[in-house]
Amino acid sequence: MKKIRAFIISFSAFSVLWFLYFPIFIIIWFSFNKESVSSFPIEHYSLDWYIKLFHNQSMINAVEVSFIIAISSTLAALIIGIPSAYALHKYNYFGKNFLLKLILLPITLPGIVTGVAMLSLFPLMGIPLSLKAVFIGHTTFLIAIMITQILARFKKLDPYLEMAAFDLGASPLQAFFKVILPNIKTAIIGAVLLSLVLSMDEIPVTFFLISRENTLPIEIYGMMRRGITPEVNAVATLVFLISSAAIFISLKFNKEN
Amino acid sequence: MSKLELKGISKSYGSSLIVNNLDLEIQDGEFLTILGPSGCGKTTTLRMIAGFETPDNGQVLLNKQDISQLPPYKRNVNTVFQNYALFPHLNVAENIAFGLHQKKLSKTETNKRVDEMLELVQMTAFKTRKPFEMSGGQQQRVAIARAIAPDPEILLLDEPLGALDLKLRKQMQFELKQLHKDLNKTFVYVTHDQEEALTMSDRIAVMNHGVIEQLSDSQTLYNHPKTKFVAGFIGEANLIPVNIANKETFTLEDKTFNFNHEISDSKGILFIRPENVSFDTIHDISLQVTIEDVIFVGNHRKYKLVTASGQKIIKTEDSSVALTKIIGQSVTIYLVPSLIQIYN
Repeated sequence: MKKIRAFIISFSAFSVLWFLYFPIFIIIWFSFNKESVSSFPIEHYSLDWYIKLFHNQSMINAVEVSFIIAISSTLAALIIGIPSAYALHKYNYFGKNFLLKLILLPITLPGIVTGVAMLSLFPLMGIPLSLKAVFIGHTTFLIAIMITQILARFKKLDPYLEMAAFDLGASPLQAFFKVILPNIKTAIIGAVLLSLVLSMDEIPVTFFLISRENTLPIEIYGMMRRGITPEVNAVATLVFLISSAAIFISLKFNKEN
Repeated sequence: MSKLELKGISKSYGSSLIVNNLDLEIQDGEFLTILGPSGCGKTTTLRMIAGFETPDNGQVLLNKQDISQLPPYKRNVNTVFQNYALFPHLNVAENIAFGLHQKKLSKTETNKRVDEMLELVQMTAFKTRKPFEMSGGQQQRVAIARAIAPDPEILLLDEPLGALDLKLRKQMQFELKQLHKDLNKTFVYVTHDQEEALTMSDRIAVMNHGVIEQLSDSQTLYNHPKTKFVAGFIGEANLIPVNIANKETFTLEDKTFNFNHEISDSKGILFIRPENVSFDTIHDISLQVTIEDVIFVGNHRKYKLVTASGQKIIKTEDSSVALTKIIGQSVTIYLVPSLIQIYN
């Protein structure tokens, strides 16, 4: 009986993993195919598609745009997120729980809804469809990520640490920088990495707000419309590797303390 | 000279009054303990001295200066917290140096003071350890060193031994007492553990429902508790209902005894410690009882006695005294009059 249960559990676990990772594995494999048609068996392996990728100017531009958007919106979310999380943690005020739910909504709301909403609003506010609009769009949902991650750490932080800092002569500002910040540092690093990855991978919101310049996922999407080339496989492989590294590091930092 | 004075301080949270018009004067160099059950307002009182709470009414005077509105970082008092609250990202030496950096001491002065403190609490070998690499007792020593390092006017201790096991707690009680003697500093200690309070303190303030019921030294507190609450909270006590006709007598088990007291009600509660109930030292106040049970409790033995009307009385005696009584036997007991109190 126990053996059957163990078998069922491991079988379903492996199926889930297989469905999740087998397509990615195939993409990585095909990215080393010399031929331009993705079919088995692969006769010649090469790095041609990677070399071609690094000579593709519009792809390089897209990577650049993606980095600029990811870094700037993460930074903005960080600057808004840390004090917000601190205030949500420390003070009790009317409507706090409602406010918290409101902040978390962008995470659960389909990106397409946020995208369409911003698409209709931004021109009315005089913000043209542009990277600026994309930056604002990304920042809004990254704030939600930032606040949840940092708030979770605040909740685990011993409230007596801040009291001890005050007690030993530190003003609230000194206590924050000397005691609070060093103790939530790992959560911040984790949240930053996660935000960078999420911004890099984001399609729906970006899709509605972008004008001429493309971010990486939109560029890949455009390439796909001309048929799957092994170049897409090469890009996907690189994105997958970088993202997983970032997620891995972020998880590691969040686990600490 | 009074070091710290609490003048009519009150504090409420919402509709519940936690500290009620409390007065307390603490002498310079004194070891004063605020003792009481949880929820009596003792920790809130300590927090108002430290500055974590502001009293709704009244004044906190430190060296005659009103500090009740100052934030904690502007008060020259330091706290040892129950859960130690050591900074996890700093090592032992850095933790102790924290308050010294805030006081802008020079590097050499800071290092010297840190070494002094480490020696004082015998933690020199742990100088570069992080808090999570130490046991509870070791962390507590560092917390004490960190609080003493900036040389505060008063050291506040908020149930500092509460999280330690019994044996270590006993040892730390002794060490804290020694430390107090060596430093000649004013200690204000908060605890719910009456034995801890009796062992360590110069004076004890027993708190209940936001007020101080009695403020006196350990012996007076134990032998002459002023209120029924103090009598029941400190040590073991027989609290026996009695009838009262006038201020010169009381009636117990249909017998009237001569005893001067202040109770004007028709009913009162007689207090006597179990060790002051005697089988053979003859006194005026005597009762006929039956022995229900005899229990051996290590260094003493405990008799469970019952009167004809069913009133239970506990008596204790040294286990070195030969056991001559048996269960079911009827005996006469005597109550030492000078150690009796009668409460409302």
